Amino acid sequence: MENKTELSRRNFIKNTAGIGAVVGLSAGLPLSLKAFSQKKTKITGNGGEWKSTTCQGCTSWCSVQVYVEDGRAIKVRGNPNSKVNLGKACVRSHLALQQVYDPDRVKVPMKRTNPKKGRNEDPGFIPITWEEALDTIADKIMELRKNHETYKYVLMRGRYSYMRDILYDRMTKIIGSPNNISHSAICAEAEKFGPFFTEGLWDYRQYDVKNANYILIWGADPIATNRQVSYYSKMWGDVMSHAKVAVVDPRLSATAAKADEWLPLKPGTDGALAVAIAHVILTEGLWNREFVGDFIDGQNHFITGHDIDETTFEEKITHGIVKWWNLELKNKTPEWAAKKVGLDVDQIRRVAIGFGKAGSQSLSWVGGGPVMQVRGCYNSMACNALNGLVGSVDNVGGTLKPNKEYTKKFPAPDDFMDEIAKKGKKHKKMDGRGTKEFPALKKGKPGSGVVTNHLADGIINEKPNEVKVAIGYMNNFTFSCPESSRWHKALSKIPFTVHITTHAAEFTWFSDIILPAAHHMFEKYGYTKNHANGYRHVTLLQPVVDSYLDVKQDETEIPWLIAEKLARRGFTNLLDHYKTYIDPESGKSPKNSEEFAIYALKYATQPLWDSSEYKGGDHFKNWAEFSKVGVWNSAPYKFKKRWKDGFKTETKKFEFYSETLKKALTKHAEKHKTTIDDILKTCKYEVHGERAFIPHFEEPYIIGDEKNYPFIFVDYKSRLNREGRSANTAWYYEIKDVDPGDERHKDIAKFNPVDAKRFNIQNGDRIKLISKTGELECTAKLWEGVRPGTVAKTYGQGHWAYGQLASEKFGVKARGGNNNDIIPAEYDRLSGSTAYYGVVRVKVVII
Amino acid sequence: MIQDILKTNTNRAYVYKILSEFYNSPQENVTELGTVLKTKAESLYPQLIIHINGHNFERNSLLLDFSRLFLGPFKLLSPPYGSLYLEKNSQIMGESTMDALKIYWKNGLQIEGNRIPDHISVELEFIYFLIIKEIESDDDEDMNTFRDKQKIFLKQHLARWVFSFTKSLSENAKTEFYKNLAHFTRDFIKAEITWMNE
Ligand code: SF4
Repeated sequence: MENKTELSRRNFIKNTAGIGAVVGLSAGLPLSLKAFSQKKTKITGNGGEWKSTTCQGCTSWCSVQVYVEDGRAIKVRGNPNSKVNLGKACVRSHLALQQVYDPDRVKVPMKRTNPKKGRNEDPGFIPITWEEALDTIADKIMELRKNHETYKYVLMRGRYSYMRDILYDRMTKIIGSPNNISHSAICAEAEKFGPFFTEGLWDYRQYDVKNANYILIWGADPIATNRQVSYYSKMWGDVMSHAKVAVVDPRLSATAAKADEWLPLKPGTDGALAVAIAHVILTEGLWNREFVGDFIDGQNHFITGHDIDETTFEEKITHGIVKWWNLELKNKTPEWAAKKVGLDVDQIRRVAIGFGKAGSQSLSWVGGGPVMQVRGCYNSMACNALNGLVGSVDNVGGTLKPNKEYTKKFPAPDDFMDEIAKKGKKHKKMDGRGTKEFPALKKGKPGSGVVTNHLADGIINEKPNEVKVAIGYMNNFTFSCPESSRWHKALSKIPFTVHITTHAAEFTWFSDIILPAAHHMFEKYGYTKNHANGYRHVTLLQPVVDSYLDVKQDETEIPWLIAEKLARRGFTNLLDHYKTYIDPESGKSPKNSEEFAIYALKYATQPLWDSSEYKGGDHFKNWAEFSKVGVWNSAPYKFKKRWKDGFKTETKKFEFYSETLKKALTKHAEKHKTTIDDILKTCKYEVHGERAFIPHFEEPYIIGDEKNYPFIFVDYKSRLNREGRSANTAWYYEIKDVDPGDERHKDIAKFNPVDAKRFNIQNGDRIKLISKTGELECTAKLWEGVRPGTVAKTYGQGHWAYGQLASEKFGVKARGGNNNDIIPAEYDRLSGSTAYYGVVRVKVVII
Repeated sequence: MIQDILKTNTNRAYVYKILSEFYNSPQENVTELGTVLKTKAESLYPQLIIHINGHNFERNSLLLDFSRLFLGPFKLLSPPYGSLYLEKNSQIMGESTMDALKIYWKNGLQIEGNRIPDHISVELEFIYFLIIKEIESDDDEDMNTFRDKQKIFLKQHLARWVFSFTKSLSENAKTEFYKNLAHFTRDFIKAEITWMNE
């Protein structure tokens, strides 16, 4: 025995040495283990545990928990500790499991080998080390700095967590560029426009559905898509038992399917319906006296067609009710509206009266549908103004603002911006905001809102300047922005682009370097905040699984690593800045990217978990406890506080006549030395004069004539889209019929049977939808849930580069069709938003 | 006799190890490794060496092919992960992956760096490790245990999917190198199974 052992060992070693001498060592043949180490292993084997993190499958941002066994995610549920989503998670949350374990994820950094860029140029990506990737990026940035052209750097941001400012804001500023461009304008910015210019709130609202008796929903689908889907889905059974629900939407949404009233209006005419409802509320005397006030003589003088003397009405917490009536509402009867919107007069009246009678417990819920349109900002105002009429704003059973929370901003960048940076930052932004045709009046400040989709034109036309270095993260503008072909051109033009992403997508196709990103729900530190149910929560993103891919956290680790590389090249400002993100517990400055990620998070959330800084809401002992619970809840909502304290408008009142908008438009017009009317005309609005400042109806602006393009295209988002990132998961296709009217494994365009007969369209026909902008291929279906004269199709499919399941023939043929190929690049210019809805007509060709 | 086993095992160990290397991102030493593989395979399974030619390989074209086949970033043509063949969900980190991982754990091993536990190169290196353990064994019982472990691991993991994988690889590979690698891997594992069952 002894002998044999000795012999075998010796021989093996001898052989090994022999090989090593011949080729092994010199050729780098590692005889030692490469894939393994022989450290002591712990096998848990005693079941798993629920770990707290956050879902960012949509901007509901639910606090969730992941069941983790042996380092692997098994299942997902809502975090029971959240008072916002109450332990619930929607169907999309589960698809995250198939994202994180998608074999097509980006696994290592890669670089392009084909110098030519274009839709038909295979990039030829090959793997590189993080070292090489970061060195290349740092060299490119240093070159900009050396040449004093840092403003030619652009950071494009898609979905983010609140760690965003590290990469989006601080890094861009310290390098010296004005060009951090967010995706917000392709989301739902116009939704905030109405609330801001009536009640001074530039934000998404929460809806007190527990106490509401009438819920009027405009182009939102709260039990299927954004926002607070988990919460509203939990509540909806209850809601339906105590409230009337009316849904305004040209197609039968999931929420409409369960509603008491479905109002399938002509796309884009929401404003007409809203002003008619206002007309009925006033003529029927159903407005809220406590909020709006009353006629001095106590009589109702709101009589159709009659002007009213402003001095006869004593207004309370609102401003301009009589002006609104005189300028817009007096003739906007249900009969007038019926023709505009294509609905029954009785239904309009019934809904208006139902809504009015429920009084302050009726809420008007504005979604993306009516507002992400060319003239959508006025729809946004008109629909939101109804909450003012009935006094449901800030009230029990009404529309609420977000509660207060106490997270901290990251340290300011100013001291770390050198002369080059300061000069660079003074240049104009690339998205055209603030120009005459793009007022982008975010929070009433001209030129402060982003015009995401217009960035492509800026890059193509080099206006205001060329772009030399770009970084995009968690975005796919090449797919998600209308008239996507412009993005092909724009990205082909940028000499150096980096894409930080979990999945390579159409944007990556045009990039030079790909950096593999950690998945937000399973592999990343961060936080998000959101509100519903009368609460706000701040919920933590945490790495909850063992990751076996060479990924890094997009918003923290990657900027830190770039900062290190820049420092090694003599530019230390960024790293010096990041080093000021001190860990509140140990008082230590971060030494590496991993420490930076967690210190930054602890820093920003310190007032929530450090009892010595306690300000309100849930109380934690320390970081460890907060991290385990995963979510902080605010104090409950204080109803009617703004009734007392005043609204954040020019008049401190709820404005039916928006002095706030008047001021903003005046500023913009003065800046361009012209009149407000000229601005409005340039921006494609119909209105002029005083009516520009009140909620009013504008004819929808739709591209394509009815004769050649008989259908108005109704785009809407699939309830399975995880921010457009789930197209490579099997479940997406297997359960696609959770979108009402859709079918499994297909991308469906839905036609009303009446139209189908007229145009000889059969169920299952392969068709092309063609607009003036482009075309797409999909499958036809006959369905009563769509208004005649329109064709409805979910957005989500049509990828030509996203992975094995997402495209039919990778790189060549898309699976299904991308709606953005047929939607033109148009804007609601006052808000800067991209138009998705009621903006284009199409024709159908059977193939 | 012992010398024979030892020689065979040493050769086997090398073949597994070099194959494992070949399924990692190609380095400068590809050609040299090929030469070693040839020597080792020749004395083990002479019929296999038709799959090894003495070409010099250009690293960049290998890298491109390697990426298309095994890495993406857009779509893997021949996924090198067991779970993609053993489970119906087309996912990494499946039940079968965890089973492999737990076997490594039981043998005192942890995955080093960023590797998916049922990546072909990891599974091949695991068998290499078991062969070395067999060689280093102090007694017959240990030797048999490690031989059995190789058999079982092949049977429960690698051999259950490697042939679908090599089929896909031989169809999708553009370069001679990966086509040959597919054929060699296929025939080698086949020969191994036969040899072990003898
Ligand atoms: S997808 Fe949206 S609604 Fe659903 S769990 Fe995630 S964040 Fe919540």
